[in-house]
Order: sequence, then structure tokens, then C-alpha cells
Amino acid sequence: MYLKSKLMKAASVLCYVFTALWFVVTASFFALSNNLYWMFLIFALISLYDGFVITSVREKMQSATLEKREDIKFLVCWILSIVCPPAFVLCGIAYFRKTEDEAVVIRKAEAEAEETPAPVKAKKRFYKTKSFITMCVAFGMIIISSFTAMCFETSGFSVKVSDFTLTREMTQKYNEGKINGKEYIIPLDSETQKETSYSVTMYVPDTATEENPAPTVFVLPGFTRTKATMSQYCMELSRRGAVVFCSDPGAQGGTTENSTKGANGVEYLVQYVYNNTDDFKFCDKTRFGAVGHSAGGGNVCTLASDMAGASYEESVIKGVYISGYIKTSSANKYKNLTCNAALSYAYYDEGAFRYQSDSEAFEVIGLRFINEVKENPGTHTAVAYDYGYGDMSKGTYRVIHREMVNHCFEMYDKVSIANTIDFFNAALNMDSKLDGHNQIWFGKEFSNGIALAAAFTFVIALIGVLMDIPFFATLKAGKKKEEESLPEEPNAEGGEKALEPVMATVEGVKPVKAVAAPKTVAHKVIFWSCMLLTAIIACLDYIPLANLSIEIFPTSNLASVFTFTFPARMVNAILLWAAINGTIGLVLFFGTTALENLYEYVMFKWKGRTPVYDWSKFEAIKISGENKKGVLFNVLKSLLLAVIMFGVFYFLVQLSYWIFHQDFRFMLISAAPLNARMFVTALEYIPIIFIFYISNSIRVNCSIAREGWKEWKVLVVSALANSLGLAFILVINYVCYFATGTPYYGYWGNNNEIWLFVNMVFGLVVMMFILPIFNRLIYKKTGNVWVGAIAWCAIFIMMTISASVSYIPMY
Amino acid sequence: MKKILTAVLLVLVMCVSALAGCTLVKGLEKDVQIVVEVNGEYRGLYTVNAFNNAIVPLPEEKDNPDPKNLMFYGWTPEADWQEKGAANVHLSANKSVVRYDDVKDFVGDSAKVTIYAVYGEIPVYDLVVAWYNKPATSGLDESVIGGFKDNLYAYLTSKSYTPAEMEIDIRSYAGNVGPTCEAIKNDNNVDIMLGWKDMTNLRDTGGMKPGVDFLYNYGNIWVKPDFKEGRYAAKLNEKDLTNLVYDWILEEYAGEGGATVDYDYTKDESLTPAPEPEEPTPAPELGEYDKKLVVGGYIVDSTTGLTETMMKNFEAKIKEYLTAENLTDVELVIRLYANDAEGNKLTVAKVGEMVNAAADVDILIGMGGNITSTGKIATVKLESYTIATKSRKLAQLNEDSLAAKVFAWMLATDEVKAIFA
Repeated sequence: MYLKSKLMKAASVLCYVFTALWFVVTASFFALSNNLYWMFLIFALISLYDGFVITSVREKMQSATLEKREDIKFLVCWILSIVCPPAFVLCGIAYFRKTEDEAVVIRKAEAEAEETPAPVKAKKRFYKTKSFITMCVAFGMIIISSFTAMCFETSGFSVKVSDFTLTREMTQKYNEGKINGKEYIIPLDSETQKETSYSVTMYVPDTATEENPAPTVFVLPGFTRTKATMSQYCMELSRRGAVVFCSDPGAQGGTTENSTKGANGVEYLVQYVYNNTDDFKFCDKTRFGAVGHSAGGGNVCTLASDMAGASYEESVIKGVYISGYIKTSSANKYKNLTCNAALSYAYYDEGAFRYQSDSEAFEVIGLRFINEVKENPGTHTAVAYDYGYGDMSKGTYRVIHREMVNHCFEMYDKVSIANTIDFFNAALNMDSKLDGHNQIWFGKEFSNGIALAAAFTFVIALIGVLMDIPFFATLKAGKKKEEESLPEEPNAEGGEKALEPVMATVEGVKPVKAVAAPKTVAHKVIFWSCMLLTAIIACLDYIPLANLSIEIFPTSNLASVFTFTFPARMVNAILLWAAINGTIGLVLFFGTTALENLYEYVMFKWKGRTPVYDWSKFEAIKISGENKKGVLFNVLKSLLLAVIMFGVFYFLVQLSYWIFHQDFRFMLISAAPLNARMFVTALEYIPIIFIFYISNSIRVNCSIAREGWKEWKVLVVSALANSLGLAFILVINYVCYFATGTPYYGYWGNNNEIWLFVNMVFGLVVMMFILPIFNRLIYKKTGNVWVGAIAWCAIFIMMTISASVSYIPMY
Repeated sequence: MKKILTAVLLVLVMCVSALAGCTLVKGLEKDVQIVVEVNGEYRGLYTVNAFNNAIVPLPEEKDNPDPKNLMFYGWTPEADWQEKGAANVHLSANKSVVRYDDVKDFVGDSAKVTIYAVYGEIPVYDLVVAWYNKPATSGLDESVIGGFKDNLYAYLTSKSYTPAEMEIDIRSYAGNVGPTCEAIKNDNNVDIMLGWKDMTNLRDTGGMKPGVDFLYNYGNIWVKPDFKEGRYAAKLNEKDLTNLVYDWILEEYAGEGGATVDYDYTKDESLTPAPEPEEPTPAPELGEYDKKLVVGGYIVDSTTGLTETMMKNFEAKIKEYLTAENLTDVELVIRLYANDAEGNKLTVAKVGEMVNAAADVDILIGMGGNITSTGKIATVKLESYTIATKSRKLAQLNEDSLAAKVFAWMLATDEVKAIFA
């Protein structure tokens, strides 16, 4: 029996593995618009359900020889497992295995002998509790990793990093000398007539002094990115001796100006630094450069064009690096440039599918870039990448790069950054001996990532500490009193337990209390079908809902509409997706529970079978108390806990920023210091997106966690269930992209561009993966599904909004 | 320990899979070699894949076998395109940029494909209306344009045209402003642009030269009435049918307050240096003249802008003028063309019939650019004349010296212009 059981278990596991595999194949064929995807979808479902039945047969088997009914079931399973060849072989061997294996008896006996009752633990003092120690360690990690990140950012304290706000008054004060006949003063807001400002970070190396002024580079991020996402450029340039200024574009980060017109604010900054004779004597005003990525690339091209003057000598910008931006509107400015210039466009840039015509294909734009040189027009008919055309000393140098990376990771690509450094090293005579590939920025990125993880750990541990305080302990105490009459939750820490149906009814009497039901095949089919359904819906509805967000919200896909009504244009897609999928999740959870219990009731009425109700799964949703007042207090305490979590998390962010000038981030996921714009914007989004968070918390804690699995399995399944749907968006999109050169999700609906919404999924998948784990951890500490949902909703939404755009006319 | 080991192994497997996946990505790329051939002549070898296009040289003018009737359509991988005909073969999406998509279905085992230059007949259109197919920006989509087309056809029918028999192309241009304007310039046969933005946008982003690539641009145009903002309509030439349809668009789809002038090339001083102030042209010498002066006015208020009040004021003004010029023997007749006997508004064609039948009209005001084509009215002189901010026509219909004198006076006198403006 031991071997047969093991074989069957292995077969079922293989079936699950093949389920995943077939789903990937299904997504791939779907991406390529090949109708065979239906066949693979059927394979996936057969594999999945076959696995359930094999498990069920295995759990029921009493000996190596199966009962007739079970034997037939297993035979069918064996045949169906043809869609999973390894399982098919194992099932075949298991099917013909009819002899007992005594090893299992020996092992069982050994296992039973090892089981000893756990000693009763005495209550520890708070500073000796696991939560408090974890909290302290996490805090230490935050301090250490932020300090480490600061060391990297300042290149071992050889670069001074500081922030300032560029105001209208500042640009007015230093506007005596116009730049090439043009005036650059931050205008008053066109509607409110109020003053707006730009948030700037400045990197000044020790070597930059009045006596030895340094080349200066202005760095600008792209759409939905803040200046912190370009810190790698700032660090690498500043450690090579350049002064670097990096600003938040309009409607992003700490900038209060909403307009993204012109050069998106960098023109005011350049003017201010260029004309300021008091504060920037360490900047060599004859060696200004600018680099921007994506929309920022277009902006620095505008900047260099506007400040070009008639010749290289007159040009304020001596070197411009345009990264990830090839629109014709930008290309039309190439002919105006009188400085050295570089153009880079990622080989796998997903946005390239839009530029496939005679006038806008990358190859055409590339040719224009090397030919339309004001002082040295070319007649090239083909472009050589990484080859320098023209003369650096005359400002006619042109070079084009194509790094093997995609759009949103281009700014984190070592080769891209090296190309940028090498360009400025030559164009601005930086005279750095450091090779372009000698980079340290990922040290900062990694440290900030550790700080982010530590901050999450800190707030989770903090809840553990707070729950030990009598004031908050009532949250769990109320729950315990109610649960005393109930069986222990099956998935308590310590391992998988056999689920015995506990009947709380007396025959012939109206059934009363809920109990844990045994996990039948039918239950598994319902459970996993719901899982699959929600994942498939989450995968398929994100893009249509992103498209819908373009159609129905005032911001649409315009950067010119400023509104208080859901102003975070990119987050609107998430808003709709979260609301719809959260609602679907809730409907499925309550619906299937109601249906299962209705079935029991019907069977009880019809056949007199003792019903096994499972209402107890709703217990975790209730906030209990001794009386109504107690319930109310516990509701308020739950809210207070969530507010504390949010407040402490962002206090840590702010603290780290004050002391070390570091926020918490890892590439596209970040928690940055807050400002009023982000806060007001988030207030609009949190209530609606909360539907998704509470739905997830309920699903994890009231459904998945009750399957009787070990805790790690609960966490893994929860995390995958919440993120796989989104991950498959990436699979579909990129399989199609790599096979055809056009992403599956490029245009949608009324020719709306939605490819950028897919870029957002990279960050979203990670957040959705960790969310259920966090929800579970908080639930285990509070016994309450609401605290985690509220707190994580607020934190994650704030993180998303602080990293995106918000066209809210607050200033 | 067992768990940790398993977890570490899993992570390693995932990392290796991810790395292998990234390597495989490069393997997915399939390079295709393209041989370019024009009229059987080899023009080069290029390589394309899903991420790289080829810029191929356009055929030269001398390659065109019949430049008067044929034009270069694009490239096809089908060697027998001449038998199939230019309209029935797979053509590249572009003319100078050849993409992997253009040839991937024609690649054999050798991963090499020859593309041939295709020549076809030059299409001739009576009217081409370009619309901006970017619904979120322009508000225009197939259904909105479907309604527009129905209205346009009904209007043209009311003007005695037979749109079903005409070559009318209501053509969509999708993409951003830059590429769509570029495409319109390349097509070089668009008459009216619908749904784009203001002159600054067309010029700076679209790369179109005001006064050259487009002549007029009017805003506050609501082809989709409930759209978030009014869009623009641009006129690219002064053909009669273009004028007729453009005026109708400005009238039919203007929002509250009417269509607003964004650009009018006749008022663009940057186009040509301001002319030296000239001596006013002396009025023609009055020799023998017809004692009866008939001035007709086409009064269909919604189309022409001309009103009875204007004509009454004009009558008073012209009487003053004739008196001042000692032409008191002239019998002045002001004839209004507004409604027929049944009260229906007169069409251009009908007005033409009436004018020609009367054969005594000297000057006609208020007609559109189609006065000669649709109205079939012979004119001696035809000038643009602003009536209620609309660009209409002032026509001299015969060589009579009094008619010529009054025509010149109407053109040169600001007070007269003010009556109609």
C-alpha cells in the first residue's frame, strides 16, 4: 500500500504540474491567436481534475486492492492522465500494484511514538516575544540598509545629495539673462493663478568647486516615474565628477505643477542654474548635458532644441541623451540641435509596434537622427549602432544605441547606463577614468529593497506586539470566547490534520452550528474551479478595464485634463480591475458557501441525510465583542490598528528620508515620502479598491486557509491564486511580442494605446503576490480579516499613487 | 532542513528557467533576407526580423512604366502580381519601410524572399475627407463617421449631386498627430481634415505648413455632439466641391456660437511679405452701359450667411453710390434667390437655372465655390467675399461696364464689405 499510495501521490502532483504547464501553453497559443488554445485549456482542466480524483481515491484507500467503485474511478483517472504522460506511467504502475507494503506500518508506529504532547508555554515578557524581537531586527535592518543605500548614493560620502524646490520666484529672480532670446519663468497655474513648483534633487561631488567647476547633467524621468527612479544615472554620473540635477516631471512625485508641456519643467531648472550667479559656482556652465528616459527623453530633446542657439558655442546644452523616445514630434527637433546627441531605443521596446510606418519606424527616425544635423547634414542610408558619427568638438556627434532590454527596464540596464555615462564622459569632457560598466547603483537598489522588506516586516511584527497589549487583545479575546465552542481551525500551525466531520446537529432536529466539512472531490472541484475562474477573469478583464478607464474617466489618456475626479490616470485601470474582481471574489465566496450549504439542506430535507453545514468560515469576518458596545470598540480598535500600521510604515519612510535621504524601493515598487497631492488622490481610490483587498483577505483566511493545508502551502496557494492571473497577462503579451514583434495588448477598443498598462503589471504582480501573505500574517495576529485589508489597501494604494501621475489641480 | 533545501532548489530551478527563457527569446527571432526587385532588376538585399525593419530605396521615376496613369503602390512578395493585378496582391504596409510582418507568410525554407515593386492606376477622387481615427482624442469612430457620411450624402443629393456615383473617399487616419499628418501629406489628395486640432498642433506636431499643406482651419466643430470638446476641420484646397462640403461642415457641425476661425491663409501675413501699399485701382472707365443693373443675392441663411436685411442695406448703399456717380438713370433691381414657389429653399443648381433663364443678372452675391460647377453659371470675374464670417463668392456675370464698375466698387469699399461682414 505504501508504494501504491506514493505512486498515486506522485501522479497527482505531476498532474498539477502539467496543469500549470498546459495553462502556459494555452496562454501562448491564445497570444498567437491560434485556436488550438482550446485544446490545451481542456488538457489543463483534465490534468487538474484528474489530480483531484487520484488524490481522493488515494485518501480513501484502505488497502492495496481498491474497492470496485474506487478501482473504476482510478482506471478512468489512469486513462485521462494520458494528457500528463509521466502521471500516466505512474498510474499504470500503481493500478497493477496489488500487494501490501509493510513499511508504512512501521513508519506509522515510529511516527506515533515520536508524538509527544507539547509543553504548556508560560507567557513571555513583551521584549522577549518573537514579534518584538522581529520588530527590533527589522528596524535595525531599515537603519542599516538605508545607511548602506546612502553610502552608495553618495559614493562613499564623496557626493553631497540634497533636495530643493524650484519655485516661480526663484526662476524670476535669476532671469536677467534670457537664454538664446527666450525667457523661462514658471507660469502661474492657468486656472487657479496660483504658483506651482518643481521638486529637484541635486548631486554635488566634492571635486566640484568654484575653482574647479564640474560638468552638469540634468536628468528627467519618464511618464509615471519619479526622480528617484533615475537615481542610478545620478549616482553614476556624480561619482564620475559631474554635478547632477534630477527633477520630478509635472503631476508626478513632489512637483506641484501639473502641466507637462514644453520640456516638462527641466527648462526652468536649467535656466535657474545657468543664470544663477550666487549658488551654482561649482557648475561649469559651458558643459551642460541632459538625459531623459521615455517621455523624459522627448523632454530633454525639446530642451536641447529650445536652448540650441545658432551654433554649438551658443547652445546651452552641449550633450543630450535621448533614451526610449522616437516620436516624430521629437524627431522634428533633431534639425535644431546644435549639440552632441545620443539616441537609444531598447531592442525589445514594447512601444515600437506603434512606429512601423514610412515616417516613424525606428530605422527612419534613426536615419533622421544621424542625417538631420544642423551644421553637418548627412546623407547616410543606413544606421550603424554604437558607432559615433560626426565631430564631438563641433557638436555634430551623433550615436545610436539599441540595448537588448525592454522599455520599462531600460533605465535599470547596465549597458544602457554605461552608454549614457560614456557619452557624457566624452561630450562634457568629464575626464573620468572609471569605465562606464563600473557601476554601483544596484547596491543602492538592493539596500532600498531590503529596507522595503524590513519596513513591511516591522509593521507586521508591530501588530504582534500591539496585540499583546490588553487594549488590543480584546480583539482576539472576543473571538476566542466565541470560538471556544467550535473545533480548532484545521490549518493551525504545526501541520496538516485529518479533517473529521463534526456533527453539531441532532438527527431530526433543525441543524444549528457550522462545522468544517470534509474535503470531498466535489469540494475540491468547486474550490479549484473558483480559483481558476477568478484567475482567468483577472487575466482577461484587466486590459478591457484599462481601456474602459480611458473611455469613462475625465483624465482619459490626456495629460491636459486636470480634475479632482479620479485624477490618477494610470491607477484608474487598477481601480476598475480591483472593484470588479474584488466583487467577483466576494460573490464567489459567499455564493459557493451558500450553494454548498443549500445542497446540504436539500439533502437533509429530501433524503434525511445529516447535513454538514459550514457557516463557521464566516466567523473570521465578524468582529466580536462581549456586547454591542464591545463590538463597536473592537471595530474602532481594528481601524486604529490599520491606521497605526499605515502611519508607522510611512513614518519609517519619512524617517529614512530625513536621516538618510532614502525611500524604500526596488525598481518599479516603491514607497516614497508623501505629500498632500498623493494623500488627497489616495483618499479617492482607497474606498473603492478596498473591495478587492477585503475580498482577498476573506478568501485567504476564510477559504484557502481552511483547506486543512500546512501554513506554507496556504501562503503559496494564496499568493499564486492572487497573482497568476496577472502574470498570465505578461505571458500572453510577451509570447505574442517575441513571436511577432507586436505585443498582444498594444491597442485596444477605439484604438486606445494600452501597452503602458501592461508595463504596470510588472509591479502589480509582485504586490499581488505578497498581498495575501501579508493579509494572512496580520489575520493570524489579530484574528480579524479587516485590519490587514484596510492597512495594506492604504499602504499599497499610496505606494502606487506616489509612483504614478495624478492630474489633480490642487495647487 | 528538507523544506529549506526544497525551497532553495525551487528558486534555483525558477532562476534557471527564467534565464533559459531569456536566451530562448533570441531564438524566437527569425531573420528573413529580402531581395528587392524593380521591373526585374535587382535593387538590394536586406534583413528583417520581428524587431528590425528594412529601409528599402523607393523606385525611381524612370522605373514607372506609365507615369501619367500609374503610380507605385508598394511592395509585394508575390511574383505573379502582374497577372493577379495590383489590387489583388498582398502589399507591404509602407513604401520605404519593409517589415517582417509584410513578408513572414511568404518565407520559404531558405528564409529568403523577393519583393517586387507594384504599379497600379492612379486613383481619382471627387472628394476625400480625412478623419482622425483616435476616438479618445477626436471623438470620431466608425459609427460617428457613418452618421457623418449619411448626412454628407444627403446634403450632396440636396445639392443635385449623385454621391453614389461619385468617387468620394471618407478616409480614416489612425495614430498620433505627427504620423497621420505625414500620411496625409504623402497621400496628397485629401481635401478636408476632420477631427484634428488647432493650427499650432498641425504645424508643430504634425509638421504641416499653414497656407501650404492646409488653407483653413476652423474650430468648435462637433461631429460627435456629446464629445468632451469641440475639434477642428481643416480645408486643404479651394476646389468647388471642397468649398461646398467644408462650408456645410462648418454650418452643420458648428457648436454654440458657430465655427471659430483658427487659421485662414488669406489673413496670414507670414505667408508672403506684406505688399507695398498700392494705389487703389481706378474704377473702370464707364463707356456704353446697360441702364438696368441687376444684382442677385443667394439667400439661404444657414448656408450663405446672406440675409434680406443685408441686401436692403446694400440697396440703400448702392443707390447712394449711383447718385454720387451721377448714374441716376440706372434702374436698380435687387433680386433675391431664396425660396421657390412652394417655399422650398433654392439649391445652387436651381439658382443657376433661374439666373441663366433670366439672362439679365449682372452681379451675383452669396454663391459658393460651386457657382460654376453645380450652378453652371458663367462668370466674368469671381472673387471670394466674406459674408457673415463665411467665405462666399461675389461674381460678375457679364462684360457690361456698369456691372464692372459696381463689381470693383463692391470689392474695394470697406463700407460695403461691412454691410455683409
